[in-house]
Formats: sequence, C-alpha cells, structure tokens
Amino acid sequence: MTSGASIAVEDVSLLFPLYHGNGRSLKRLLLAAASGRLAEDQRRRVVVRALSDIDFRLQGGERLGLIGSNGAGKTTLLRVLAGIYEPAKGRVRVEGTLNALLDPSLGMNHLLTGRENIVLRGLYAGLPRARLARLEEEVVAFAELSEFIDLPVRIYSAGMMVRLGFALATAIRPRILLMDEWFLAGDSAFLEKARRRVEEMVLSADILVLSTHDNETIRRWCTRVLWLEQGRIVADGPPDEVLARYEAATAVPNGT
Amino acid sequence: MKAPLDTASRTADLGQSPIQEFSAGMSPAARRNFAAIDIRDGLALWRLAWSLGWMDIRLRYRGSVLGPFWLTISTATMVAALGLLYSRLFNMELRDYLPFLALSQVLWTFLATLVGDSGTVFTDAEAVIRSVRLPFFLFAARILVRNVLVLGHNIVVVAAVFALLGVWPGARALEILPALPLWIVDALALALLLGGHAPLSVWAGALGFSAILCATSWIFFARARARIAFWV
Repeated sequence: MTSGASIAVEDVSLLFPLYHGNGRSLKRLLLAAASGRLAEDQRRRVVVRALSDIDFRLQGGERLGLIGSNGAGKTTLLRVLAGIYEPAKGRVRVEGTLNALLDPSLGMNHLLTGRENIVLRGLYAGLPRARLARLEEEVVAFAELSEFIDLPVRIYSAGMMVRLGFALATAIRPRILLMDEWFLAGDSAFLEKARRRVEEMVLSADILVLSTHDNETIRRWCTRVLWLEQGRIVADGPPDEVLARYEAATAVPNGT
Repeated sequence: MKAPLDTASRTADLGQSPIQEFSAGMSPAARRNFAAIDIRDGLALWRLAWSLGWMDIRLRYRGSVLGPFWLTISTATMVAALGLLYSRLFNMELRDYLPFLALSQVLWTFLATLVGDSGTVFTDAEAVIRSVRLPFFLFAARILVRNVLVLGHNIVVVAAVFALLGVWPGARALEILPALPLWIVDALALALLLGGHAPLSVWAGALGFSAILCATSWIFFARARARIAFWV
C-alpha cells in the first residue's frame, strides 16, 4: 500500500472565544464607544485557552490514542485535526482523506427515512453518484432494518438508531480516521458484528487518532499515546510507558 | 454479510483534496485565499445544496397530500383576497391592480424570507458545522435553493393571474432574464453577510449595488470565516 497519509501539527494553540453569554454585542460595543471605553471592552472578551503549544507529527501506520481527564482538550484536538476549528496560532497540515466520527447522528434528519438519510450522508461526504448506490446497498445490508429502512427515522427504536448510525459512520472508509469515544461506548449493546467492523475499519486506516477513557482499547489498538491535561501535552510516547505514568497519576490513593 | 471493499475504492471514497492545510491566525491574503477556496468547494457541492434545499421544503409539507403546492394555494388565496379587498377599498380597476399586486406580493415574499433566513444560515446548521468540515458557502446555497424553489411555486400564481386577466407585460418582461441571475448572486452574498437588501430599480444602480454587496460580503466573509465554527 502506498502510504502517503500524514498529519503535521506545528505549535498549535487554540483560543476559544465565547461569543455568547457576556461576550460582545453591538449594543455593548456602541455603549462602550460612546463612553470612550472601546479598547478596555475589547480586552475583556472572554476567551478559553483550549489548546496550548501542541506539536506532533504522525506518519502512515501510526495509531495515536488521546488520553486525559474530561476537558483536557481531546475532542477539541480531534476537531482541530478535522479542520472544524481553525487554530489562531500554529499550523495543521493533513495529507490523505479524512473522516471524523465525532457525532453519531451527523446530518441525520429524523423526519427522513433510513434510506434517504443514507443518500444524504453520502452527499455530505461528497461521494459521486455511482458510489451513492453502493453506499446505500452496503448500509442497508449491514444495518439489517428490513422494511424499517423505508420508514422515517423518527419512529425507530433506540437500538435501530444505533444500528443505522453505526452502519452509516463505518461505511465510508478514509485513510485517516478520527474517532471520539462515543464510538466505543456501551460495548455490550453492540453486536459482535459491530466490534469486528470497527476493528476492520481501524486496521484498514493508515492513521488512527482515537480519544478514549478506556486504557485497554488503547493498549490493543494504539502504537503511540498523547496525554493531554488542560490543553497541554503532558506526555507523548509508547502506550505502555505513557499509560503507566497516567495510571499512576490518576490512581485513587487508598488503593481501592 | 457483504464482502469488504478493496482498498483502492476505500481510499478513493472521500471527495477531498489530498493535502489540506487548516491554519488560521492568518495574513489577510491567506484569509482571502481560504475564503475563495470555501466558495469554490461550495460550488462543487451544488448537488448537496440542491438536495438540502429541496429536503427543507419537502419536510415542511411531509404528510400532506398536496405537498409544496400548499405554497401555491396559500399565495393564490392571499393575492385573491387582498386584490378584491384593496381594489374595492382604493377604488381601482381589478384588471389593473391584480397583476401588480400578484407580482409584487410574490417577489416581496421571496426577498423578505431570504433576508430572514440569512440571519440564521449558520446557527441552523450548528450540529453539522461542529462535526464535519464543509464549505460555509454550502449553507448559503442551501437557503438560496430553498427560496428559489418556493418562488417557483409562487410564480405560478402570477402567471395564472396574468393569463386569466389576459394581461401581457410585453417584451419588457424579457428583462427579468438577466435580472434573475443578478438576484441570485446578491442572495448568496446576502446569506454569507447576514445583511440587508434593497429593491432592484435601475440597471446601473442594481449592478453597482450588487458589486458593493458582494464586496462587503466578501470582506466580512474572508475576515470571519474561520470563526464561524466557534460562534455557532
């Protein structure tokens, strides 16, 4: 396989401006301008530092696991890699087709039928018309919803929703796969078939970036681990080494 | 279970350019470049814009036998009622007044809805914007498609009024042919700018106005594009 996929993240910092809440408004701006406090008001813009000085490179074949506590910046980093958040500082360069599994119900419309949702997702992914028919066939075969596939998603049971969402998300195979942990959540509810499909998808991608709290999954799939805390890289290295430090740091002191 | 696809077709799956760079904090030139790429990629996704716009309308009338023709019916009712009432009130000849009213009503509805929709173009697409990188131009195109389709359903009423009353506007009606594309460009610029609109009166004025609107929209879009994902 010609493995040209790569990701380069150079010195990326992401300031998350909070535009809502008591951010800025035209009224505030005009009032401030009228009373000559414009500069002061601009400096008071509420900003959250979501990522600081993130710098790493991934080559084809690497499988990166992101670990860290809640709010450490794992999902934000995935969004930066997917090009959704553009960092104010630094550079992100991605080579190879990319698919980010961040939202299980991406673009799914509950009023459309299962089949219509499949076509919609294909269009979102920019698939050519010929490929759409094949996508539909594959998803229908995998989701096994029988006649429900032609009924509105609104009336699906929770289990049926999961099957359709999962079949859709895994039908489009990228070189670079970004995966948030929802995908692995509730393992018991997923069929064995679904587990096999995730593994197959992970193994067929050139680069995997996976965010999860489940250290076993990281040990099984990843070749490298990035430990994030408050938007900074704490450690970057082989899974065993980084996970050992991480587990030591997060272990409950009294040993329970 | 289906046999897995071969690797070649898998890797060819996504219609993205092979190398992508996502960096902001940019120089104005880089910003303009990103905005231009956004518009180019958005145009390439015209099929998706069309499907989304059409879907919006179909879903609005899902479960009704007449479907989007409710648009035509409600406009026809409105034009008929207003026409009868106003022609009586203002003592005007129905044959003169009704065509004027029908055309104005339909075009005004188009403009007013477009302006209203433009204000929520990105917030309505919040979930999508936050989970996948797509050209922002796509969302503007979706609104345009939706409103042009509504206009298409309403213009039937105007045609019917003209036909019923035997009024033919003459060769001057052909002037709308170049005017419509101009409106469409303005509408797209409008949706990206989230701004306002003025009626089309004189060609020079219209072209000048369009140029200013597009330029303003371009400047603001290039400046703010990278921040939209944070803002929604």
